[in-house]
Amino acid sequence: MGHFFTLFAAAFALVYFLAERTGIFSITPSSSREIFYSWPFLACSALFMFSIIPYIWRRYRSSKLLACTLFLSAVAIVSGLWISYFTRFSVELVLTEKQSFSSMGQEYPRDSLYIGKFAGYPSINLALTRLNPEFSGGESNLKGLVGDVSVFPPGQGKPQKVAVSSGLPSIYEGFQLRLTDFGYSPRYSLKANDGSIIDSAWVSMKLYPHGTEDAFRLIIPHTFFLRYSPHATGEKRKPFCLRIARNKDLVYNGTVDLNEDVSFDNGKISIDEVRMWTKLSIKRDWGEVLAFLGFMLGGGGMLYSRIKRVKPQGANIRS
Amino acid sequence: MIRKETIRPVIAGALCALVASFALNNQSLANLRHHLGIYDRQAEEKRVEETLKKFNIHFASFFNTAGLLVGLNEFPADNLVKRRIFQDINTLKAFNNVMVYDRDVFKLKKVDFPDPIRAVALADEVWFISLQDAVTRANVSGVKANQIQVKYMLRKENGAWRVIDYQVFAKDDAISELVHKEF
Repeated sequence: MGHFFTLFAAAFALVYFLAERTGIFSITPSSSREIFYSWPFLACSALFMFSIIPYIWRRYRSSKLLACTLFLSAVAIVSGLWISYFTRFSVELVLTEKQSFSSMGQEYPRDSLYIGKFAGYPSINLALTRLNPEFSGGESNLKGLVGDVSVFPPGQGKPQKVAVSSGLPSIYEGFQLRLTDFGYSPRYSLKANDGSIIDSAWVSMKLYPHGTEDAFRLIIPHTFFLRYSPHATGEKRKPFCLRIARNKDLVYNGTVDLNEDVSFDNGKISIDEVRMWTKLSIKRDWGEVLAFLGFMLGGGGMLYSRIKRVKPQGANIRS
Repeated sequence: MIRKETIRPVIAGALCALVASFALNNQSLANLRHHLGIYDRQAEEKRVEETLKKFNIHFASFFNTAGLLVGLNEFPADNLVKRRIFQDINTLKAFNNVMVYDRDVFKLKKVDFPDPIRAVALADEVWFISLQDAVTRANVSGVKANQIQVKYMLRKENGAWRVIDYQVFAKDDAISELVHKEF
């Protein structure tokens, strides 16, 4: 029966993953994490672990070392998944250059937050001090991101600098830090007709690749659509394309320079500065580490069986 | 040669996975039909068009009556859209003004259905807009012929389409692939 349930669970896991990932029965495809943490997948993983133990013992009892290795590998992979489900903490913070985040005064963004049932909310205080995008083929393809994050440990005054990138994650006190996205954050200033500033803030927008349009809204009923071409300078080639719509009334549509006031209705708006933003992925997941070790162990076990030419018991019987 | 003892559990597992995925998603059959393209697209497009016509009738009527709430429950729009419209109406009212929207042209150019419950529609519209005094109804500004393209984002809720957001472009503007946002 161990053989039956092992294959059953493996086929179930694979087909369920594919069905959910392609989203054939759902409105939108599920993410890998959503699938791994869904109860059919978790139940199937438990079935897999309990059925594979007698199967491994029966097949590889001639080599106790190999049997133990494969057994430990299966246990590590499945328990890694369950540990991850219960104890993982992960979040993505959208940070503009020089912007800081403190979990003491700010809430974690809910759309990207995952916190397992037995995981606590960690105290995170950090600031993005540097961000450098690396392009290939002009500036149309983003090759990678590198940057620096200053982390302020609780109770200590001196910040610690951590180098982060979009490649392999950086490790800081059990957290994996990685950069995942890129865009531009213009700073707008909304002014009264006399020039006094009513409101001014950074707004993170998806303006990359250059020429991509995004929009923002303020306390007034207008929508501000913006495109940005950083290298367009001079009288005829201004870096911003701005369109202002007040419900269905198009009140402005043209190009704008940095610090140029655009008059609309009873006010003015200007873009005073542009910085870059990125998504900083913060993750603490011991289960993932355990599962990774399990895969390594399993791979090592399979390699060992090849080198030592350990034949599974079933194969001996057949031959 | 694959043995029966191997193929049976694999088929059983795969079938159970498909059944589980089917059973655990809402409207699985409708979603599958949409993804396979087996649905009445024309009828759905017609429903979207009717929704947008209704939206525009109510939109103009709210502005023209300086915010009379008649028809608010039938207005096929999300609360955020309603808020934006009434915020504008109330701002104008504070200055004793009324914005009068008179629709001249509404031509639906294109409707996309990214998934079974979302639609993106693009329409050519012409509106004559004028600012009037709220009491005397005398024109405060000239009449402006506003030739625009409007990109509507709609979501199906309880079987009916609702406008979740809309973006306004000039008549000759190239419609950019606006950043995909959840709606």
